[in-house]
Amino acid sequence: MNLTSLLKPERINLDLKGRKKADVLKEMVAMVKTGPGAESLLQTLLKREELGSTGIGKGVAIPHGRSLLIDKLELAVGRSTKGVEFDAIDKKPAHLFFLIMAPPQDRGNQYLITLGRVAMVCQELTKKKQLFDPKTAEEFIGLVQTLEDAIR
Amino acid sequence: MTSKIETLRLLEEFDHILRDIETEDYQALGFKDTKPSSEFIKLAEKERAKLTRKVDPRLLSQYERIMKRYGGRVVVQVIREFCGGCYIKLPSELASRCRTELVSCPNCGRFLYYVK
Repeated sequence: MNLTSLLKPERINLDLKGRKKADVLKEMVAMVKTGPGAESLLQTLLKREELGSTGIGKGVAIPHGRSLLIDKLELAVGRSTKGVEFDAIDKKPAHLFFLIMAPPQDRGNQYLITLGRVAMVCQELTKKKQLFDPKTAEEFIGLVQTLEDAIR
Repeated sequence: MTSKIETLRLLEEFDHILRDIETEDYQALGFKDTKPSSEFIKLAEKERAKLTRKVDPRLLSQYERIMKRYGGRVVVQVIREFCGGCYIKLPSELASRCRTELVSCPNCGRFLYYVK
């Protein structure tokens, strides 16, 4: 399993508009779910954030959760140039967001494996200061592919 | 869709979050404030209580009983008139009623959720 197989250009938004946690999460959710289910997913993500921010520092946040409204593992990416206060571990604003949603039970627990891979890729991305390098969704997927190959 | 089923769904999804957080794999990811400390347990209980307060005590005890029995699948989707938990064929009338009211599977007792 690799992240690039889960990344779709239409689920990458490199120009998020929201400036608040809830607004950005709403924009992210809209990439994986529309209609009344979107609000339900947002509620689940916000409940997770109540337990502690998913902002892992260095400008990255990985909001995640499981939901009955999701049939298979879903991944979406968002980037905010201005940054969003996310109560991150280092108190710095978050610029890059990886949203991971999974069904309540998934085969082989791909959800936690994916969370781990995303965390690893984000570490590399921030180490190499490449957060803002990709200009298009396709370039972003290409960069993730390169980083994944390097840590394999 | 009734708000009762929405609250039960959110409660179950919150329980999934807590269940994941308890695992070693999750702990290795190093998310903020999720180490199994007494502070975290207190916070988790507080946040869970916010949800359980919205549930009728009789329903909540049914929820907890099913959770214990089936290890984490309490609210399930109705998939083409089949229960998404035990996969029994549901009576059409029941499968239809779950769109507007809170109903349980006559076989496994799980709460039936209709996804639009």
